[in-house]
Amino acid sequence: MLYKSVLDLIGNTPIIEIDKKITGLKNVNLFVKCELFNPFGSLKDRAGYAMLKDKIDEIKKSGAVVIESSSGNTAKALQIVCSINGIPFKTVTNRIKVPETKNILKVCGAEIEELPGLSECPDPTDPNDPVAYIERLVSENNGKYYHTNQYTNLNNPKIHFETTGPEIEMDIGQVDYFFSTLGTTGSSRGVIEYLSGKNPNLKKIGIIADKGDNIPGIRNKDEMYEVGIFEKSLYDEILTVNSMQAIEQMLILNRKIGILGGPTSGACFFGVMEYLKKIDESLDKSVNAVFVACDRMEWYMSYIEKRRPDIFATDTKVENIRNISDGDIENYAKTIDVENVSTWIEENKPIIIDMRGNLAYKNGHIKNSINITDVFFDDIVENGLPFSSENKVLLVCATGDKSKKYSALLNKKDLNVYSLNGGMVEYRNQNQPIVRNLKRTLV
Amino acid sequence: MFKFTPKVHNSIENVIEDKDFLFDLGDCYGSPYNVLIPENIDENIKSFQDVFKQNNVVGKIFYAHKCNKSKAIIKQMLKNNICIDVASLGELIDVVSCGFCGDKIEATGPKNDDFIILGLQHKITFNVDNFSELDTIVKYHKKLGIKGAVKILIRLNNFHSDETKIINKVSRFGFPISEFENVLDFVSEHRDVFNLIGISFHLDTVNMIEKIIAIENCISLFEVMFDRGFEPYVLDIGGGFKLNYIEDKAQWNESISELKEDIATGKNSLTWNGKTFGLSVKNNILHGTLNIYNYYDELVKEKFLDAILQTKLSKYQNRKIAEILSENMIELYIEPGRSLLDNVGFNVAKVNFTKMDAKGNTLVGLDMKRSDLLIGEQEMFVDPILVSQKENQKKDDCGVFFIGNLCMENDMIFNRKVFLETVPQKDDLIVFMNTAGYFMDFDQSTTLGQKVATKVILSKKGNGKYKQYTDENFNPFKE
Repeated sequence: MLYKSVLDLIGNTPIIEIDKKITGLKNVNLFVKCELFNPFGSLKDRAGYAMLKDKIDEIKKSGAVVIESSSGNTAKALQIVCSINGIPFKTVTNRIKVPETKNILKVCGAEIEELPGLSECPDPTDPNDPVAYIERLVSENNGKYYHTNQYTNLNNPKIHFETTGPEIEMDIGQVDYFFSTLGTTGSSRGVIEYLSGKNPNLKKIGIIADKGDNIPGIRNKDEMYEVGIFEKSLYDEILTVNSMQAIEQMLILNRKIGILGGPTSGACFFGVMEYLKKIDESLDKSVNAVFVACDRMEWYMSYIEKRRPDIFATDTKVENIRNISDGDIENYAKTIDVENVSTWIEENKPIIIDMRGNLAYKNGHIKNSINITDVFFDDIVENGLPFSSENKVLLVCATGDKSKKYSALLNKKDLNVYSLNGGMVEYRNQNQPIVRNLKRTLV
Repeated sequence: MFKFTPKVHNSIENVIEDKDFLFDLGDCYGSPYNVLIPENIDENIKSFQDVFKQNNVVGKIFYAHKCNKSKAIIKQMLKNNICIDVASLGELIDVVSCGFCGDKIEATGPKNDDFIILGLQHKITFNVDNFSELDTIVKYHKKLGIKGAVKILIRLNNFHSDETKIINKVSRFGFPISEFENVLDFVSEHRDVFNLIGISFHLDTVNMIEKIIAIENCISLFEVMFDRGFEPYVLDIGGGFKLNYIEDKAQWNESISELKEDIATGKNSLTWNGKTFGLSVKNNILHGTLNIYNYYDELVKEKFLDAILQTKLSKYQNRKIAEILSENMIELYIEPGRSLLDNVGFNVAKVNFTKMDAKGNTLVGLDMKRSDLLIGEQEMFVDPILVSQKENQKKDDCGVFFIGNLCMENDMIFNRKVFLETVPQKDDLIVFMNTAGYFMDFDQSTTLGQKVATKVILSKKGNGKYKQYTDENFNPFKE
């Protein structure tokens, strides 16, 4: 299909009905609104564009920088809308907890500023929050910044009232249960207001993160006060989900349904199933329930890996220094003592490889040694060695432990590798000759 | 339930279970009084040293004297063979009088001439803060005819990262990193006076990333110093290893939620006269950050140090900080205060009276002032423990406010309500747990003629019983 602008792809996302064989529900038809199909990959594309749409020319003319406090999808959407229109964008955050998210923002060209952590002796008069920081920046630099302010910007809920809500209703008809994760609450508020208008009996369920845990884009109980939802009246029920549950359910979404939603979608799906399993039996008629898959899982690899390292573990058969046995070290390692090393080097003319970090090498090394830091040496060992059994090799590390393991590992493959006993620490302690690489001459 | 139950160390629990003993101490020393058990320091020191060992790092611990004035504590540090960090002439005199030699003393913070002169005579290490200080050292080094160069660390601030743009809080301590070359120029011109052993920083933040950035910056400066022919071997990363005061994580989380809800809904039933600790409410929306110390924290003390040492630096081939330090033979200096005094002491105050305020709140008047416990505006979210000899106690359902003994409206011990099992009554004792670091004598004053707390030192004898000492007379070497 031909489009003139990527922005035309925002919205009109598909809605998918989940097979009852998967949900195990009798009376509930469960639908997932696939907001991850938006062009920049998340639900926030709608709000990001809506908050800027009518202002683009004005901002461009004034030369202002768009500024927002977001560490994730909103920043991404705003950044792309801005950059394709030639407007600079800056995001101010407390902390970005998922490194990939930060990298994606950087690839898209965003400027990121992070606020410093709390003082050890906290000052109660220090507002220390990104919104207060932005407000100060905006007022101190008249006209330099345009603050989209997703938390109070009415275009945020409005776009969902005007597009997301009607799309759902048009595709599946009456909605009886609507589930959404609570972040800025702009999207859920807009959708709920629209759907409630069509069905006054709509049950609204909000999902929040367990305190002391972190699910991207979802607030915990305390953080909800920062968006003013503590009256709780908008929701019939609020459920708490933790990150392990979120990931578990995300895997079902990914593997059984084929929707590559991220942990936030998983959290929502988890809340959905908890709630619906309880009420399913008691229903006397078929009902429609909808939840939102808000973004994609690819951006959360380190987040998932941190919580579920088992998913990423592989059974490695290849022998390396991490799994070499003590017996092998005993049998195969060859070592040279520091007091004999100078003579040994002279007689054998070995290739000397210093495996320490580059700074340490620079600061002092054995004459004629070359520096291949252990992380790189690891790659070399795995991918093919640049020396063979006719070369004698002397490996040098800081303490002689790592080099001894490599010596055993390589000698087992019929190479001729020695380790300096005690490493550079011992070498230095015995005042053996050292070469320094200095940028400038000594003062 | 709005509760902040303190964690209590076994040894401390044994002491406070003996009610008669606590009341006897009260009769003897008046209210308030402070109790210290110096030997509990030993396990804290060991836990840090174990982390050094596990990470193959040569490390030195400098106890930050400023967090408690006790001499008994200083002597216990000396007995553990660690070093000490002093921040004034008075502190230097203190530690010298307790037996510390110059090679184990480091001076930090702002320094007047007298401090510098005495420090030079004792051959202590100077953690240099500014150019004027360098000048003063040169001047007195000559005038005093000091033999040999004086060990210095250059204190730096305003670190930056290529990967993370953190908005820096401006620090009043040390040289901005951009001045580093100029400092080296000055030091180079006076090689007979200065022995540059390394660089230092202390960041007033509980955030690890900021400390990591500072360490990465400092390591790159070692290269600069090597290139200029210096032989530095010390990186001093300051203190701030934090402490956990609270028994139960879930209780902490729930109670903080309750506090936020109370403030957000405008009920303000948990705080004195609408105090909000940094939060504000506009249009039913909560703004700002709850600016309180994280009294519940998991990554503290030696665990925090370990986490720092285990962090990999992308700028250095993703090597762990511990590896970079040990490979480059850089020693790590740390300056913990609070975290070395975990489980070492508690404060005790007597209840003077109880009364009701106009809103029907129960006020418990203690015979102590706010500054006997807290520094400035800080608030303590750790509940005290009630020790009573009374038979008929009333259950406490509504919570109480603890107020101080100064004839001043603002002398509140806490600006938040405390919920205890029973309502305190006149002559009961209130015990504040784990206060040895910063919560004992930091702001102590005799304003309005009110006394400062007496320190009682307890030390376990062979029979398992504690013996009492005054702070002056306790000396672990004599035992």
